[in-house]
Amino acid sequence: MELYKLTAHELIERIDKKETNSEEIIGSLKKRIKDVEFKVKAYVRLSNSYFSNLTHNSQNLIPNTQHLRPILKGIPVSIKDNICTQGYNTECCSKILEGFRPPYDATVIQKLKQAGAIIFAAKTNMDEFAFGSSTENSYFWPTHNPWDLDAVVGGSSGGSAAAVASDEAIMALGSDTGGSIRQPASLCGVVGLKPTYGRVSRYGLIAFASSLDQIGPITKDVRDSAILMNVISGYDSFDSTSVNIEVPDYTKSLGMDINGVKIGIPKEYFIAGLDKEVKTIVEEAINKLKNLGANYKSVSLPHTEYAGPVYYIIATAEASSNLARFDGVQYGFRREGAKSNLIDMYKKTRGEGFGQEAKRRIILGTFVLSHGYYDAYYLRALKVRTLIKQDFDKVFTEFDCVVTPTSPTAAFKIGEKIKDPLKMYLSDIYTISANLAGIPAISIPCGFTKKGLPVGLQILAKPFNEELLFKVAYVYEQNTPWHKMKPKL
Amino acid sequence: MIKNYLFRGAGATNKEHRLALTARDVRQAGRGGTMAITQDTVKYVAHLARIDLSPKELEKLSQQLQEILGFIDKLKKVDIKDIAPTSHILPINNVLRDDLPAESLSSDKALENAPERQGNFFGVPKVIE
Repeated sequence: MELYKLTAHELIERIDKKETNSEEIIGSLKKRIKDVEFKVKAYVRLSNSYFSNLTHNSQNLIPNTQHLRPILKGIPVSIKDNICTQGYNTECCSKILEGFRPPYDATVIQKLKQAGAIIFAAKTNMDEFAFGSSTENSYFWPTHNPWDLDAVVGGSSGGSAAAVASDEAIMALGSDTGGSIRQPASLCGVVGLKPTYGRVSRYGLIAFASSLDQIGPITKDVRDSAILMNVISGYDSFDSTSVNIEVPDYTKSLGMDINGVKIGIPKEYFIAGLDKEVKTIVEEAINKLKNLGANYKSVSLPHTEYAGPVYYIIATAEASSNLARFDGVQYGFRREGAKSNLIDMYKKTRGEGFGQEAKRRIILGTFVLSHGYYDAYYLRALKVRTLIKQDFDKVFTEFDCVVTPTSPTAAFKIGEKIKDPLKMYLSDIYTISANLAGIPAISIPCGFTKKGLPVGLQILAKPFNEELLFKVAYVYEQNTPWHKMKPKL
Repeated sequence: MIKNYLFRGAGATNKEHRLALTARDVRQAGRGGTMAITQDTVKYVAHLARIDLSPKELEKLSQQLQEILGFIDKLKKVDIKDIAPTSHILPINNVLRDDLPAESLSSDKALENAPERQGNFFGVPKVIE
């Protein structure tokens, strides 16, 4: 069995038994990347020195980071291009950040290093600044779905999801603002988790929407996700939105039964727009959960139809603010105008440095925050956000979790939706509510369409109840064949 | 009484453009009609956002934003009476640290990525009024 095919937990076991070591694992991964990366194109900035073994470098430890056992000792982890890795280019797959080498490590990177992980210096591809659902908005190139090379990988963490699916990564980190971990995980047939807002530090994550962003694991199976969550979660004084709640050992939730677990199935998610095949597959998965001991019942999340508008107002408003810093002054790309004045430099730098989707979102965000429109759009969206959160609060008083499809369709073809922004935005309808409500959500594989494309099942729980997500996801996974299936590359 | 508008926080001076925004547009936005996104509006907002747009981009973007606004306008149907806005999802406020000096980024590290450095400063073209 080739090492690159294994999960992190399988590799950890072999490392502990001294049956293998990190050099062999890295060698195996390098071979795999050489063999298939030209088809998938999950990584950006691959070069000969793309593995950075920084386990010996403890200069980056900061006083308030807990010391962790080296539970990931020797395991390579792939990182999305919007997470700062000290000394290694971090560009959000955008021209405007070209050449940027962060002078510091994101907290999650520090935690990975302390756990003994090996950080890939080459980063995984993404939609520029996380704006997108297909990784087609990358400044570099689109990543190709390992299950169908003409299809998208989803986004914005498409590179991470594809690398895990194609065994070009053992495990990976992504970020999720409106589904950017879960949707690509669903389209690529892997496991993706968005933690509760505040569970994982955002320090070092280049911000898109500060009230929605979270970093999370993208992995081959549920156990790997729990292991990675153990490492990256926790309070960080460098992130004032991180929460000081103890991190449980998430692996303890694996193997618990789900007898009597109450699942709510929101009726507003099973309507027109949901692909019929996906619907059937998801319904079968729900029935499987019932056979495994859970109970399900139809529930209502009445403000579901407003989640899209609310998200695209709040997220773009916050993005317009967060991206104001990219102006050619401190880092990245700079274009001076012929007139050689500062405002001109801002406009030319941003006009040339940002891609179309970035410009679209910044301008929309600026618009909805502007005087005269602020109340009608932004303030109104904040109030409807309250209603969306309350919908979930009500359901969680009676139910342990909510189960939905992750994506309304399986992977669509590259080029199919990119010319129609609105069509692309509708790919996110099932995932955005979790970010608006701040609740944790996981996507796990639950089957394949007739064309062989993966379908994902999404489970949502109340804040800081990732343990329930792992409990349910693990039982389902271990009683189905999906996590053992690999694409033919 | 709705008068002329200056964009909030834009530092707009009398020399800057004023938005061709009429009271009628604002009332309509509040009442239920989708307001029209003219190319002038997009041009002005792009100016505020300090983004250069080519004429082709301006045209395309105005069209697309008009469609997106139509999608967003659905929100007008929601009854938001007495609902408090959620700008931050967690019940934590005013997170402060003790006022004790600690390590921070050196000037050299902070200037490492500067496109242009002048001494301990970021070099930029001059500001012209």
